[in-house]
Amino acid sequence: MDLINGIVNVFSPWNLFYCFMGSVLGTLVGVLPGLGPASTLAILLPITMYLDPTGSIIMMAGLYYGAAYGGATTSILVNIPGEVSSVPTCYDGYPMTKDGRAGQALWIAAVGSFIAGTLGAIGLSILGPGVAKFALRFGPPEYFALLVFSLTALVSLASKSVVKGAAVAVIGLLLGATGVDPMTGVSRFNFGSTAMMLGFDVVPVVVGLFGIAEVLVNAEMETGRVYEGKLGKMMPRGEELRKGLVACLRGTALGLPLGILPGFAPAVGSFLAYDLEKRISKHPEKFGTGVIEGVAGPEAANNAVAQSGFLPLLSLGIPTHPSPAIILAALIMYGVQPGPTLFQLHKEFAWTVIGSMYIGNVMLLVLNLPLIGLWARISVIPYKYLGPFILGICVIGAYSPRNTMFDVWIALAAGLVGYVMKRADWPVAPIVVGFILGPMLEQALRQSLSIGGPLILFTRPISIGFYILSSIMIITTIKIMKRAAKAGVSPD
Amino acid sequence: MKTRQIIEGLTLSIISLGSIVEGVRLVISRDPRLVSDILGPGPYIICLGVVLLVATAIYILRHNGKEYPQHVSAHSGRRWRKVFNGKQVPAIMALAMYLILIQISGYLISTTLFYVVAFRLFGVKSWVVSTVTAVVVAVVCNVVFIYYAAMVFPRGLVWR
Repeated sequence: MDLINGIVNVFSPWNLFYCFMGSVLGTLVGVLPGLGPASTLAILLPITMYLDPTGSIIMMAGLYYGAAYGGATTSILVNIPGEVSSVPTCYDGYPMTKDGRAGQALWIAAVGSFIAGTLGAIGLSILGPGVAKFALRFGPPEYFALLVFSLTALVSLASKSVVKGAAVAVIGLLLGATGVDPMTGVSRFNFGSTAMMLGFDVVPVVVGLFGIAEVLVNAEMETGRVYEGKLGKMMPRGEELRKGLVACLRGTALGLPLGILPGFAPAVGSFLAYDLEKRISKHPEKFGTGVIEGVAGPEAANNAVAQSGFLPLLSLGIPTHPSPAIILAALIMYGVQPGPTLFQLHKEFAWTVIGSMYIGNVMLLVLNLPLIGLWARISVIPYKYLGPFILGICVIGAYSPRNTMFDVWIALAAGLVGYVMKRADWPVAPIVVGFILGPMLEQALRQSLSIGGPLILFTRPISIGFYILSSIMIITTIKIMKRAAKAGVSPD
Repeated sequence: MKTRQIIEGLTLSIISLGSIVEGVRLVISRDPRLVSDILGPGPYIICLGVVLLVATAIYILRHNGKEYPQHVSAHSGRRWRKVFNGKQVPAIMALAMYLILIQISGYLISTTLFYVVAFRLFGVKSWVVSTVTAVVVAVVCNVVFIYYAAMVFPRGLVWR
């Protein structure tokens, strides 16, 4: 009933408009190489402050899962992945295009994305309130353990090196601790500056680390080429259709549980799905020559991962990777605290956002099939025009939340730091997640200690469960790293 | 140990030691009436600083004396030296000049100038194309953000 009400709410003109805009922007971000969903969300974050909170989150969510749709287009047509998650799609998508079956590849990618997205939304509708209800049992010690688990998982999975990831996450936590301490009113890390007393705002930090740094990384990018060939017939038939749809379902089944775990970005899901398809195929040697399962599986998996990431975000307030972390920052900015109480205190908001995912997936399907030619042309907008434009928008974005040039300088500094980190192979995601989760982690820790001293952190069953999971995650990652080192690969 | 790792280790050490010093300062200047908050604002910072210091030590020890083959190392020295080649430094300088200029000449003029320079830096060859595009983009941004969204940028000395 709540879901139906949510879907009905989406049909208000403004919500439909925001949903459509999210889908369009998502597809655009997907097809444009060098512009990821996290950087676009970071740039949009301050601009959405002027919009209605429900509409903004509908748009941001649409942009995030929409990017997973659009990434396939350039992978299939011109062998240039719009997103990292679309890299495996190139392996068989582009050979299908060379074989005159571009239409079929695009059709199965869009339909696979739609199936995964819709099943993800169904999963969120069913499990979301249940998980949130369970999480109502969480007190500060459990919440602290959950945050520790999320940070550990992100550090382990999102970074190539546990030590680097941990160091960067701690820097993020320290950045989150700047400014006036909310519990005692004491100012930290202000270095005598009044501007620093306010602490760092999330927007300039995120805009710098993702927006400005991304432009600097892509500054040397060359313009892509337009696909001039024919798409051929769109819908595959017979055995080809069956194989494609089954692969879509397998990709979805793989991606949905992965997306719930912190650290599993859509890209991980699509690579694993490609590997799975190749392993179970009767003809693995044909992979890379234009096999439809090689397109269907990864495309479904990356959408499933993106969609199911909303479950921990909305039900527990835990972002699984940078894009949901930016959506979390937006929610906090609007005064909507995601987590166990979301489905009670902001019921209408939660169900409208979930309802928009069903509508958004339909919109994306429509946008990605009949308008495919348009997206293919847009994908070649030269970066020499796009890059400066993004930089200009970043300046506005960093300035707007607090109307101070100090924040713009912070964004520039963050951009420089983010650029150097990316070039030097240091992970940027943990710094942002640490920065956003830091204040929550500190609050949960200090509340726990006030309630029952240090022992309370290690005596609650749910907390112990999360600590065990964290340990498993670290041990497994270290083992994988050691194996990689033995094989002669740098631990970084 | 390569120069790059020494720089990284030093940076991390400075951040961690700085955090510990800040934490100690907060502990020393702690209000004695705050008895309920065991962790207080200082010890939390010290804990984070210590964790970062440990991570730094592990990082330095792991890389000390280890040499990875060039073809498998994710960031060889050659790649590190390339960090600031090309368009990045001019782009950062242009952005910094833009931020200074906003406060002198106001949003519209500074944005137009920034876009002219940025388009050139990013590879637009023609002065005419970059100037016309810059004027159009700056005017559109001005209308959308300053007039429509009512954002208040610092008033310039020369122009709003």
